[in-house]
Amino acid sequence: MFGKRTILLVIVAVILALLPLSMTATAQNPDCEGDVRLTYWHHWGGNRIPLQEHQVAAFEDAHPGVCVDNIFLPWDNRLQNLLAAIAAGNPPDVTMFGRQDLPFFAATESIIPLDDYMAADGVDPAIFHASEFAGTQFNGKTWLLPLPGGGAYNIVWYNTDHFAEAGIESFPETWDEMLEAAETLRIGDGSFLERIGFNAQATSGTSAFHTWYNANGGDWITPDLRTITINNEQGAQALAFMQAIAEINYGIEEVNAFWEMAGEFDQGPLIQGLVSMETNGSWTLFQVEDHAESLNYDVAPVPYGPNGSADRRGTAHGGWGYMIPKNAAHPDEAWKLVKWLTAEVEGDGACWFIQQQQRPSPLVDCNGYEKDGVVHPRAAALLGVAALDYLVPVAPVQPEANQIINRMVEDVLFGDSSIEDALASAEAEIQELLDAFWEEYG
Amino acid sequence: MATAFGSQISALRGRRRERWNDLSPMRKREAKFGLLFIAPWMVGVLLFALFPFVASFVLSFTKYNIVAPPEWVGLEHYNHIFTDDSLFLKSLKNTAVYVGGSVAIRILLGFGLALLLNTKVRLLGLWRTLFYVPSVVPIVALSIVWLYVLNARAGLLNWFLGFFGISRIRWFADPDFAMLAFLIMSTTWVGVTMVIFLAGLQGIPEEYYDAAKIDGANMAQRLWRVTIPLMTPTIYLNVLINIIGAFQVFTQVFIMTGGAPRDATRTYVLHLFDHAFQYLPPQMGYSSALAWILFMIIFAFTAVIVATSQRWVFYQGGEG
Repeated sequence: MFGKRTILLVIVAVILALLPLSMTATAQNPDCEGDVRLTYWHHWGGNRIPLQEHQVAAFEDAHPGVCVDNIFLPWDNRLQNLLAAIAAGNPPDVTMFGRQDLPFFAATESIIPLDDYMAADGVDPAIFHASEFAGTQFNGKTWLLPLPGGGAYNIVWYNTDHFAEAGIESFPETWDEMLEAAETLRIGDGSFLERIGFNAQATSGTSAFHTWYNANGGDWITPDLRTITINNEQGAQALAFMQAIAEINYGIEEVNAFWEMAGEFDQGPLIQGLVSMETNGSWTLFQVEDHAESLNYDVAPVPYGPNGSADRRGTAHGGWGYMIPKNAAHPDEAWKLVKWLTAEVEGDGACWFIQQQQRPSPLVDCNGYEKDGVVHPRAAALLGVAALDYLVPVAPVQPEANQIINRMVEDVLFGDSSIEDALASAEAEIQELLDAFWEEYG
Repeated sequence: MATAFGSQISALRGRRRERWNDLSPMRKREAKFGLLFIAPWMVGVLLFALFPFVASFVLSFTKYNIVAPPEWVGLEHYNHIFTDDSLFLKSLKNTAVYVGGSVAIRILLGFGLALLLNTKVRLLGLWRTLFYVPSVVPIVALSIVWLYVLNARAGLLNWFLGFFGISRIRWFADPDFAMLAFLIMSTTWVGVTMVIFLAGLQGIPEEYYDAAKIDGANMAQRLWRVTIPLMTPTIYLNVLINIIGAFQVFTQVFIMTGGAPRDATRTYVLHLFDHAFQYLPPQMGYSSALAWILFMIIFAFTAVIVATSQRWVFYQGGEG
């Protein structure tokens, strides 16, 4: 029906149209030759991209015959991308993976358990910190290996100049002390904030409520992941603490409006001098060093509540890891890459990658703060704070549960609900979701 | 306009259906190229529009988490949406406010701008371009710009309102103002509506205005008696386009507030998106049911507007 010339024209047109699509964020080593080509997805953006390229190139050198398509994808769309790829039967061989997403993928066996590979290669779970390895487990199997650390999210970074100006000599240990310090450090005219002493809603890793509930000795879910337990004294005190901090800062609306001025990296609230104390993760170290060299600061664990204790402060919750999806084209070689990315202490593997970023490593034998043989002067303080982290398990319905918890906090802070009602309602709502999950996947 | 279009349809209807073998070599060649050029579009429609359209309807009666085969649940999702999903009504209400507000803003502002830019003012091309350009800026970039404009503390809008004695508004932090902020943002796309109105205005023959002037009609009377009646087909088109678009508002809300504060900006499509792509297990069946309810709502609105159009839309040449 169509002449050769027409068909040729169409082919050329299609190739020209598809040409831009080939220019994605895929990094390939042109020197790599091999029968196996792995597809590897990760979410290490910014200044971590060259580190990833270096690490992957080192893997290819160490594993002749295996090449890697190193693909950077945005973190926010990770679930859409991964689910679509799995549904299409064309998943990556290895992908970076949120530990908070594990229960669903493990329950549906959409990813491959790694225990047999670990046993065959002698990868002992003990090489990881116990709290890190715990986050890789579901139904008694190991589904991913951790990197970076899932802890050190709740470090309080504080401006020592502000403390000196306000005459505060030591960092608050308890919530009562924190309320006093937050009020002393806040600057404003009664309705308009100039500076926040402390914002209890701004935490990282978990929801703010999880952070304070944990610091008040509360376990939000039972170890079998089947029962939610937030409607109790610890929960009420955590919400009351958040409410009190918001009131010190002239109410939730003013806090949120003030926080609109803050962003990430060089726009961070601590770096801009918008806050005196900021709860944030270990990555704040390189942000401060990159963007606020002259900032005088120190670090401390989050203060604990009336039912909490001095040795249980931050949350080890979620974090990232690497896994192999079911139907991966080359699972055996994929395992080698997972091992390189997470368990390799020597060479330019897992330990090197974390050390370049100066952050805690999940590997026991890897000091993440030791870069090129030099240990960072803040290392001891940061690791000391991280040592007080307590494992906060991921619920199988974590994303929706987080939304419900955030709604609960807003109900209280906006004055639309009593603390007791908000806790009872949120607990019932999450429990209903959890029951439905276990009914289907248990 | 309508007459010419109607006559073309009549001519097409009257044309005899030709068989392939009856066609001349020239016509066959033309037909081949016609099919060839339309093929990508047809494939696109079939694969990326019609198939998902039908599939989502079927999926709305199933429980589907993507990684396992769908499981038939009948009307369970629809029942849950109408009886047990508190965010369904909330998001629908928010969306209704956005639809009502943004459509009114865009029609009134777009029409006003088109009237102004249909006159012989200096630098006409520049003005038209300036008002249209924001419409072609990617929505992500626009969202970032608007976050600065609507910043409660250092925003341009609050600074401007300060000249009128209006005290600081915490746009995205205050549940009472957050949706209003998005309505203000919706003025960004007024250029599209304006261009369509401009095309309509330029299609009105000058003779009508000349006749009205001779009859003694002043400017307001000419607008009310000549321009607006003859613009009703364009108003009709713009209302339809804007309503359908506004019901699907998503990207700017997703980027700028994520539905906060107090779910005051949680729109219907954001609610649908969360069930499909934010929650685990993914609830594709439930999201499909939400999508079909939205489709039915939009369809109903469209049907009402189309059905009532004969009463208020007037075409030149007497068809209405």
